[in-house]
Amino acid sequence: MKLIGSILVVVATTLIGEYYANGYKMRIKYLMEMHRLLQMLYSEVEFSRGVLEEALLQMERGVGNGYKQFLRELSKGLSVGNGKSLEEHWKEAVYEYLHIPYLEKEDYEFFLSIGEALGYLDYEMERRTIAMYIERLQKKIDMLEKEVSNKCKLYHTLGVTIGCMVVLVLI
Amino acid sequence: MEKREQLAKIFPQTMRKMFLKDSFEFNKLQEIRLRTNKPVIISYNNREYYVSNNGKLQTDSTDAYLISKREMKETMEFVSSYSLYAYEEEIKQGFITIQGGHRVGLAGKVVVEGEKVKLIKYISCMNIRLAHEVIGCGDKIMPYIVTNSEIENTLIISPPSAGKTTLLRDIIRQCSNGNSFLKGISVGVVDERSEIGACYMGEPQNDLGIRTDILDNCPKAVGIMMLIRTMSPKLIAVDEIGSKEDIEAILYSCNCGCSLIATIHGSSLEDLEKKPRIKELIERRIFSRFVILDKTYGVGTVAYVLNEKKEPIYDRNKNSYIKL
Repeated sequence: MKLIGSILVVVATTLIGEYYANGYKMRIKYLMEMHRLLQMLYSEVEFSRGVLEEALLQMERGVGNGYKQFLRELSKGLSVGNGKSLEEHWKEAVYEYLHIPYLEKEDYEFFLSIGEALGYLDYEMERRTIAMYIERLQKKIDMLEKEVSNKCKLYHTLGVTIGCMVVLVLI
Repeated sequence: MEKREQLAKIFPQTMRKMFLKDSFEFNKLQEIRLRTNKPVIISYNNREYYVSNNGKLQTDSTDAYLISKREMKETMEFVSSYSLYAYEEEIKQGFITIQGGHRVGLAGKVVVEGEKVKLIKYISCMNIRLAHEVIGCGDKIMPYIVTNSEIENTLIISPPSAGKTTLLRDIIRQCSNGNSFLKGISVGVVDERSEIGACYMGEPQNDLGIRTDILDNCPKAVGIMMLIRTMSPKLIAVDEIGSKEDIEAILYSCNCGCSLIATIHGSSLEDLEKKPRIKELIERRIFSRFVILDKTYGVGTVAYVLNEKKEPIYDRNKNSYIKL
């Protein structure tokens, strides 16, 4: 009985470690998705020069599920045009429609800051601003990717180690 | 969406509320002028009014609503649909066309590169000119510009704000749909300043008929060539001709067998003959009809219609007057 219990504890903590490791990888995945979204926005501004409301709908088709609803609802909000600034529309759409559990508070803050910077800039400024955000995000992703194997190892090891320690304490 | 609500979308919250109050008739609204820290001035039914803080029109400037710098910035954000970058070319020309076909003229600090306007920044003045389509305003002119079911090459001459674009728009619609004078023909429109079709996102907001192809925001000279090569129009329509390139493109189009209808700023044919380029067009008898408008009996009064020999086939002083 003790043996079965111990195995269960170790398996559970190992799975928790795996969960955190997976969460780390998923965070990178969704940040890469955000990166893709920004690149699409850049292309829309650079080449099609369509209005933001239209561009967001175009982008919706090309991004993963996590950001789809955000883009759709933001576009809808802008088309209604109830006298709010882009920053306000963006903030509302993020709070209501962007729920990606793997992203951290700092990722959300970064994403919110994009909405603050757009909407009133001329072509050159808008393009450069988006490019700057893409670059910042790329750096962040690179940093996280560099640490991915170490972090995953750490989470796995911690999972097993904590499980063993708990077993030792309990026994 | 109601026209009033559609236009209200470009105003900041306070002005939007005032604008949505039914204190005036939308159809009589002509212009709204916004200037930073100055009263909002409205041209309504050919008269000028201030807007009071509670949204009423008044002739007295006391208690007039002043628009702040922040509100001007917001208005610009709404006018450009949060996408100022998308309107850079229009801004260089000094205006943006918004949903409903209304035109927002802009003024502020102009940044010049060489001899060209690079951009206008710190926009502090806006003139919102409301588009009012007048369906059927060309009815009385059609008999003078159609001969044997063929449209004549026509030049509409008028001073600013006398109705030439409104008339051109209705003639385009009638030629495109067909009427009792001619069968519907394919019409190519080069709308350099988005005034004819008032396109919003490529879609004409005004009725230009069922056989009309429109190049929006396209330089006239380039657009005329493009239309001839790709859309085979029977009639080409352009607004406000004048440049050397325009004249060359017009001459080219006439050699291609297309009919042409154009407008130009001026008060009379003699006035136009002082401009060498236009004089050439007149002397070469490119146009066989000249419709001259003025404001004698209000906007859109037809003064004369002349034939290719410059002889009047309609004279306001001899015939009963035509008002569009």
